Amino acid sequence: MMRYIYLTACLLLGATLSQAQTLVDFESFNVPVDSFFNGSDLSGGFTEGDVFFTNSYVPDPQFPFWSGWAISTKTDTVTAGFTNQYSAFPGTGWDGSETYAVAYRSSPPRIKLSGALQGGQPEGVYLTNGTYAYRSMTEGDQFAKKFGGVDGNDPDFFFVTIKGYQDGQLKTDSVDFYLADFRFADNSQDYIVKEWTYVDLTSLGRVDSVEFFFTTSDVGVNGPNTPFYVCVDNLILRDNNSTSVDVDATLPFQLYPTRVNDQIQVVWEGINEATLEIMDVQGRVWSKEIIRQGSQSVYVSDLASGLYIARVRSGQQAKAMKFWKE
Amino acid sequence: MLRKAFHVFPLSFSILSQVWSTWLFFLFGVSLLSAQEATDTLYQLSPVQIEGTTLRADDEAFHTQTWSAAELRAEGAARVSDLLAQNSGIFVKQYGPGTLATTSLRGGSAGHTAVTWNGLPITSPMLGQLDFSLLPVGFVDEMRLEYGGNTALWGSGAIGGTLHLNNQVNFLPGTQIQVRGTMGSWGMQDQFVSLQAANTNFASRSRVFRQRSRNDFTYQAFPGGPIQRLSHAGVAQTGALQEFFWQPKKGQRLSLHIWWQDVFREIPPTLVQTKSQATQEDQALRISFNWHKVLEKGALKVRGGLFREALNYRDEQIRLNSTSSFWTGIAEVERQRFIGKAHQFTLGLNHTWTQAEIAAYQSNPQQHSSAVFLAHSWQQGKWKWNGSLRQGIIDGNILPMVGSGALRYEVKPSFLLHMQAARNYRVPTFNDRFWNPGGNPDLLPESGWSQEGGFSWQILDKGWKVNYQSIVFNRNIQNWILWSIQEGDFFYSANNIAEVWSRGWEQKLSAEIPSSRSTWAFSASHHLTRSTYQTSLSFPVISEGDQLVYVPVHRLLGNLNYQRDRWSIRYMHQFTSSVEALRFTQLPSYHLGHLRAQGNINWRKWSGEVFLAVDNVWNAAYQVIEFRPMPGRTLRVGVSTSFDQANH
Repeated sequence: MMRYIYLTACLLLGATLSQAQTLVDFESFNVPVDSFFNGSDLSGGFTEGDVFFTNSYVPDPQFPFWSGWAISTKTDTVTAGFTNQYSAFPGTGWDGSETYAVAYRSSPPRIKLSGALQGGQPEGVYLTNGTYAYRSMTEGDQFAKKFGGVDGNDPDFFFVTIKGYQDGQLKTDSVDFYLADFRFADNSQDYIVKEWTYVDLTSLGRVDSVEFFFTTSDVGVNGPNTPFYVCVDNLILRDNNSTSVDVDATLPFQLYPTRVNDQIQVVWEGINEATLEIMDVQGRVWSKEIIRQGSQSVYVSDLASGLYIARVRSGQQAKAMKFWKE
Repeated sequence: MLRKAFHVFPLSFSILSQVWSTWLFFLFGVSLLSAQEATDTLYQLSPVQIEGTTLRADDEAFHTQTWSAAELRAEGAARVSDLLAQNSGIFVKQYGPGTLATTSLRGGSAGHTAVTWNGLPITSPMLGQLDFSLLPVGFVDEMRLEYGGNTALWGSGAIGGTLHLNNQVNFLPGTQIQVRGTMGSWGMQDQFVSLQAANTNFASRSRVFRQRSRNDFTYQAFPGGPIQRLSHAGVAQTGALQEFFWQPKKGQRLSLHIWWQDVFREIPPTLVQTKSQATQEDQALRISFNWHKVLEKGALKVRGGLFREALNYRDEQIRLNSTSSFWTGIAEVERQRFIGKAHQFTLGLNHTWTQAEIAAYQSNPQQHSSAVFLAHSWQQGKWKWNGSLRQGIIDGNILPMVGSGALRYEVKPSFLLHMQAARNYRVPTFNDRFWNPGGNPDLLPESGWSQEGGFSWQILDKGWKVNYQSIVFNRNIQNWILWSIQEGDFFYSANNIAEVWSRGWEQKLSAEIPSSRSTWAFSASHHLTRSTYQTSLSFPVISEGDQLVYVPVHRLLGNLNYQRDRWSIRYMHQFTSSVEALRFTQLPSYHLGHLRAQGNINWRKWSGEVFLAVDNVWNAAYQVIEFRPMPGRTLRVGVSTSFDQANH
């Protein structure tokens, strides 16, 4: 309950949260402790309210094969390999909750919205690596490489792209979330996500389904070598009758540089005033101010080192850009 | 560390103990028997050599390499994989001594090299290939490598070539003992004992070997990087081969061969893996028998085999413990018949039963396959012809009829012309058919035509002997089986989706220059192989014209040997061109040098040999498989001694 209050508070600060929201935290599936549902009932997926998570399952007494979505309460953060494919690396769901979802490559894992959520807007979601993928990228395995490669300098990456569809049409905007990124010139900044991380999905706009696509740098003739898993919790969706913020990538907002110590320079060329919010990747809003047409400095020296999002909102439209605080 | 093998698998130890005691029984029991026999036996009888299971008389392979027992011993290699990697045109894919070794011959896949033991195929029906590092050289008396496919004679998989491992014996009355020990870098130890007891009609031979290696060699993962030591790479092999040979009467030979082996291997981490806890244990029990009867105008050969192999793959790190096993039973009868002086016909029947067990198969599938093969050879004047046909059936499904024809013309005794065409196939493996999910019971055999032509030329002058051989080959294989994700599926499945065109040029020049007390011998060979996909696929990612992964275009082998009296020194050099790896990268080409010096001494019935071998003399850093470092300069020192009661 406290978690929900906290989350809601964050969102109230961060966006237009006066609208009707749905929180999908997977707890209602009542999965036994340290267990999972992987679609073995052949129902083709999991439903929570107006949200449906697709699943494909090949029954076999010895080696059942699944793809799409699974619901998990597994807590194993140690065991590497596919025998531990249902565990989130943090060992729990977001904020210590028991239950979360695991998406595994299929063609591809899909979330279908219906009822009041059909045509609604995804607000955000918490993502993290599964133990299998985390261990594989950290330590390598018989198939996949340790990220960074032999000398630690390989510019490896693994990210999930979240795409939205409305009326069967792919939306132009998508959200990339890097589950691992080793492309930094300074290797000390390379990272593999090991905590639950908030991902802002507002740029998707209104959708009736969402799909997860995986991309890795560790690819061979026979396809990707990195285990294609991502763990998901606390998906926040807004109803279709809510007043949404439409993301507009063409909004005249620019930010530079993307790596800073003390201040960022924001350029807003809109005629009207706009609201600028500085958020961390957990969705927490650290500052909020009004900006006017022109270039202006925003001091961020008080922020801890890490990745941040600068989101500007003008009326019902918004645009977000990322920067790294050294 | 390697003792761990027997902690982890106490069953292995108990089996080993049983085998050891059984071996001791055979060894000393037969030895005593033989000693008694020997006292009653005159030595004047000339030795009779059995060719345990001769190659088919109609075998028409033109490009071959043959190693006799003495030559195999002289190579000093413990495993067939090491020997082939250094001395043949086969490209051996391996990531260290004693590790999994698969092959590519004439641009084929690992499943395109057939392997026979005393005439019977021993490739795994589950994988369709054999791990060549599991073949101890000490258990082989003759090894013959045939380049080029001949499914009609040797069955499924004989597309790139065939490796024959044969056991032979001489009926020299008395006892023969051979003891060999080798030590080398990285904790390498190899012990081998062979004991033969025979009279003129019966021989028993027992061989055991034990190989251990930590393989903890040092390497530099990248230029300027730290020197690291390979971990978790130990290999422990133990095996025994018991054979009985009997000549009940003139013109009849019977033999029974029992081969048991246990191999435990730690699987080292790759260069992009921090650690590995994976291990693999392979156990094999192979029993074969042969009966050969010489008839008035031909011969009758009956052979059979019962093979049981089991594999246990464990990885504590990922909590995986996978076991698989199979049984294979083979019965084969072959009748040779001479008609006139020029014609020889062979008619053969083969029936093979196989059953496999692994959790990934939904059941324990069985397979019955039968084949009839007919071969004809004809020789008239300067012409020689060999032809063969095979019709097979697997579980009621008729396989494509395959055949082969070879024509040889002797322009003059020193100059031979040769041409050959064959149709070959490889039937899908059990994994291809039954793995769940993705196995496809409806797969077609990989099949296609191959052609080759060439000549050999020999010059003999003033004791000099110079040979040159040149062969070009061409092969197209359709319905090449690949595992991929098909449209609408979400798991890998086996499908006949590729076509591969292989062509190449093989040349070998050798020369021998003797003098009064010494001999210089030189050989050089070049294997040019282009093996390309003729289809473009989006998954796996293949473009038309792409060279197959891990198939080098060039392999060059050079060999210089100097022998004086009882001492010899030999240098071997090989160059392997770059190969495509699985991650769209190219592994660089590399040069390797190997040096070997040996001396022999004979004293009455005893002979001894000592050798020093240096592998990778130039300490080259190279990889045969991506992210798998190979050992640098490696030393081996060996001593062997033989006792032959029949020696005078």
